[in-house]
Amino acid sequence: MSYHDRFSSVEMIPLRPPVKEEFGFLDLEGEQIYYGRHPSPGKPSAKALLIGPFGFERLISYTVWIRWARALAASGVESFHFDYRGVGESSGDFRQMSPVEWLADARLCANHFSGDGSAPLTLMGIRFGALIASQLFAEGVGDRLLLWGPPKSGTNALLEVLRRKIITNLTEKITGQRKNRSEYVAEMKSGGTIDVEGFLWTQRLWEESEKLLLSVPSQKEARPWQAIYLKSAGKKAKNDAHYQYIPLPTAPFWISGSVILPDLTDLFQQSIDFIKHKSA
Amino acid sequence: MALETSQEIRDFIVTNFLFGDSSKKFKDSDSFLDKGIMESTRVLELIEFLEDNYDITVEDDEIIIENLDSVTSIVNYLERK
Repeated sequence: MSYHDRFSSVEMIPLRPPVKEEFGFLDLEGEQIYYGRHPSPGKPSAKALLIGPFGFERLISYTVWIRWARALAASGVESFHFDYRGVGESSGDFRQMSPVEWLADARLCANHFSGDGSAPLTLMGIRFGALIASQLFAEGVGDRLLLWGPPKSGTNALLEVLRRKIITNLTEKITGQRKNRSEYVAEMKSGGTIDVEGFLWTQRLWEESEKLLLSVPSQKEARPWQAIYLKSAGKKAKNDAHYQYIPLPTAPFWISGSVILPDLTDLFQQSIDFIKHKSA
Repeated sequence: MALETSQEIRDFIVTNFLFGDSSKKFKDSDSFLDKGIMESTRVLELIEFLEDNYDITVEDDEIIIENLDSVTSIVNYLERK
């Protein structure tokens, strides 16, 4: 078995898009939101709005994110992804951004992408984007909700990223006085700005993230939804209609290079089945 | 106990960081960072694995090389916990 065969979902990811892709910008409050649209051949059976992670995780997950968008298109699901204001290719000062702005970004993209509503729209969120997607779904937007690796809250999500900031001190063998996460949070709460993986976190980012919770649909919710947790290989967990656990060598948002891409076939196939209504 | 834990850690490293490539040899005392086996995102995965599988909480001030940079250091750290 070749190196490439072992690590790539080659069967599912087209080497070239089935239909010409469209990349552009949407205007919102004086800023430009970058988007990519991946049409499927013929009339799409479904649409998927991809609501991604922010900051450094957006950068390191991008290769998988685009391949996922193309795998969807090849399977008959038109997909659409975008960058939040202040992140990636979109304009805006990250220091002025928070979940309030990013929810507005996702809402605009949903309106733009859903079009005439002829194809059912799945809101598909990953990591921090799962929180945004769940909130948008709770507003009544979308016909299905699919989440990859959702945190419980914005606070949990930011604390996990802050943990990585502490870990960076370890991996780069930085010595001297080190801060813990409580100290970084206190710094933000008192109005300070801290550099986290090249992004400047503010008091407002922290405080608005504290208000952002994973909106789990109620039992009365008729629209289908599913949360997929991405666990380390070897970890066993119970699956049911709403909660699935898929073991992966490494999760898409941790992939820091394009050379080694793990086999994501199970994750992709199960997600496509859900979006295309093959599973409830 | 230590031997079993050591093998569990080793299996996790090979499966998740080396993608099952068991031909890449490393000793229990080898530094993951020096060997290029682990960087910051991987350390976070390792910590999640330890918390999930050994029912512990890794505190911020425990995220240091002495606790997490080799199979031996992790086993010793778990025994202290």
